[in-house]
Amino acid sequence: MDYGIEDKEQETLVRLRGRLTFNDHAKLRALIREMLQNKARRQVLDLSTLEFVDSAGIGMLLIAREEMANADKQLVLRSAAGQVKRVLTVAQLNKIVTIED
Amino acid sequence: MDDAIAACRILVVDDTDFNRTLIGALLGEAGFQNVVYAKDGFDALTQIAAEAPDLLILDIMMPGMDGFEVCRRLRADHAYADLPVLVQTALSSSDDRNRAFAAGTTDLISKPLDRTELVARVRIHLQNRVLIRDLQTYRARVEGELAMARSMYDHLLPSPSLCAALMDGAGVTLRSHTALSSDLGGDLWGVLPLAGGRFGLFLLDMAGRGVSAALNAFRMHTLIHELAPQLGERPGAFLSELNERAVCLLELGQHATVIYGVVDRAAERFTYAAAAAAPPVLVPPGNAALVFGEGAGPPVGVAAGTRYEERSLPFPPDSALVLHSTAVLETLNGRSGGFAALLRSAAVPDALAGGGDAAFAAVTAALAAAQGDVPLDDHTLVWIGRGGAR
Repeated sequence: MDYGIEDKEQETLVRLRGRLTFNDHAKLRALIREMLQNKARRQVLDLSTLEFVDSAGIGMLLIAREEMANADKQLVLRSAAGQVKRVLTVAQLNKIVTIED
Repeated sequence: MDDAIAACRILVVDDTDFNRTLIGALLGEAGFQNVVYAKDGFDALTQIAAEAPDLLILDIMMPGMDGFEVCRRLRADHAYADLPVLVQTALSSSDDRNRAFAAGTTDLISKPLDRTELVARVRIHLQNRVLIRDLQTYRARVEGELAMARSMYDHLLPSPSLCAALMDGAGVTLRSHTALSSDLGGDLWGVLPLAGGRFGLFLLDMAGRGVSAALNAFRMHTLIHELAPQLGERPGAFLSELNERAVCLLELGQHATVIYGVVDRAAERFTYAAAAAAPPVLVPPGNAALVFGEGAGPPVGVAAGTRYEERSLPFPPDSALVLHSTAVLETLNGRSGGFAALLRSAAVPDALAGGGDAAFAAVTAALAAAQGDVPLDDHTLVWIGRGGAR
């Protein structure tokens, strides 16, 4: 998995690319630290170029949500497609995290 | 010098008393505390057989059996394949040196002996030896522990005798296919016998991989069996309570996808609740279309207070119920589409006509072909057939 960060006026936009799996644990931890240091309250993960997420990846997204909540920030998952969208739907993550199309 | 290196056993093989004494004195002065001696090749092999040294300093020109022969015999024995052998030699031509290496020498020490060179070479080869030995010990331990964990894991799965007893009581046939990934995954399934010829069935997939996922799967297995007597009859309440317990037990980022249901042959129903699981599938009698259940729901262990809905599928005579882990869907590339296509593909209906065993074999064969020799994730497929050929 790779990511690019873009600071916008109202929000920080993080574009995830590739596959988010068990092996990306350290990388996602680093990303969460960066997101905590950003000023914006809304932290948006753009998933449109994320191809695949496994169960451990879902776990990491939930960790990110919790860490943002603890820092009074909001995590938003945006534009999931394909397998990623299916996994988010089956796990009904919209009950826990804000999900936007 | 490192204590582990200073304590290494060094065997000095030389037919000249003076050389043995000289080498021993140089090594002793450098701090090596465990130096022993052999006066010729035969003596050396006898001593090595009695107690293997960590390093050998070997003279080439010796009466009886020369250094080349000692070296060859050692290398022929697997036990001494990686014993460092330093040959002390006055041989200066490259042919002779090559001959020494061909016989299995690790390194050469030139004669006349140079104190600094001798000590440096002995030390470097012993350092390597100690490092490799540490790694080998560690690796063997990890392999042993993983094998033991794997075997414990296998014991969590229903035994053939339990399945057989259940099949007699419930009037169904139960077939399962499990393929574990190379590291321990977190897939688990099991049955809970209930009153009146019914039984509970669960499939669970712990998030993550390896030892942590396996440990969590053990915890979940214990929880499930604790809850079974009170809630085994009510899948919705069962999963809701399992979630409450799991939320307290699991750390953030760890969760499980679970499906739990009750197979009731008399009522011709499968009543279940699901938490982010793959949908259960009913293969109906005859050529009727497949019936898919619903697997959606928040994973277990994420949010307290989650209520899981109870759903049901018909389970008429001559049908089969198929439960599988989500990895099966990933392998077959896509939503229910891939799996449905497999169930509908020519092989399965044809095989169904010939009985449940053949149909199950056709499905698992297709799955095995799709996932390759070593699956990337655990795969579980449970096939419950009832009546007639299923």
